[in-house]
Amino acid sequence: MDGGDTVQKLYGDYMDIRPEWIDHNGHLNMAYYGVLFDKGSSFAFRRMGFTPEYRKASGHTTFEAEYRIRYLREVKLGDRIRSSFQLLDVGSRAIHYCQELFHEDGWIAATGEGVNLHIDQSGPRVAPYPPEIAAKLAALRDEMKDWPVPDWVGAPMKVRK
Amino acid sequence: MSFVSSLMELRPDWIDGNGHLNMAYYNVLFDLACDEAWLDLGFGPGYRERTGHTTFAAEHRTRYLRELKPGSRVRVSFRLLDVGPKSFHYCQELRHEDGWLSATGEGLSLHVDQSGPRVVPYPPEIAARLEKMRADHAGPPVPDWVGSAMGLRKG
Repeated sequence: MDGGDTVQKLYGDYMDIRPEWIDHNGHLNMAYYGVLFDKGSSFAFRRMGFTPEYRKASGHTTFEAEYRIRYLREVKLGDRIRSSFQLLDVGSRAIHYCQELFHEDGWIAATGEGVNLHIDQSGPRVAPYPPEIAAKLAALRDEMKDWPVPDWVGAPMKVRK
Repeated sequence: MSFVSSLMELRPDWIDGNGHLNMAYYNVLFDLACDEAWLDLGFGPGYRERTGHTTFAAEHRTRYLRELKPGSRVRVSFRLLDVGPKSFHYCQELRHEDGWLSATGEGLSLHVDQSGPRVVPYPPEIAARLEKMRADHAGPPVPDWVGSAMGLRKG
């Protein structure tokens, strides 16, 4: 059973493309796919407990350690895009996750893979998650524990000769 | 010797709720530096108009090492690592004007016929420029973060 309709996904809201994100090729500039991945993941970060209120009350926040984008298909002005979010691994101070940008017609425009750190802003330094956040991370990870890991996660980049 | 971009300034609307350059806009800086390096490779606006060919990014990976605060000024390097008939692999360093490393980038760029769009071979004059730049950039060891897998440190 690997039909497309059996694959579970967690999606954020649809996002519009801004005219200033279109480049001389007449498509969404590579750099702004990152903006869509970032905005498109905020629903998942809120669900994991990383809200503006958390940042204010605790003095802790999240920083990105690493992010990788694979560009699969052009996005044009007027397209509406939403992001999926899949939590792959949870550590004591960091999470590993992946995302896909879906056009409203169902095709994938790009994939993203990231490592995100929990930060004590008084350093800034990497700090363990407090118990209530760790519990939310564990619950979300548990919900997704049987979801297949995409084959592009962890793959190195190279040129085809 | 790698290519090094002009000095670039952060825009105020690129700063996020953490009071630093938002993760997504590092890629804007990496891309702006590529625009400058592309001129040396012959991929200027005239190339696209004359040939109907352009470059598309296939992949880009950023490692975030140090925050950039509002008002920071940066330069981004560009080093060509490997060249194929239709694509090339490169790496970049984004440095604060004081010299410290803020982020690294690694990317794959494709040569594209916009009438498809489809991936096509470089014409001889571009292939020659790519090979010259690759040779100019060769020598120092390839950084150990190129090609490394992402994952979590446990414990």
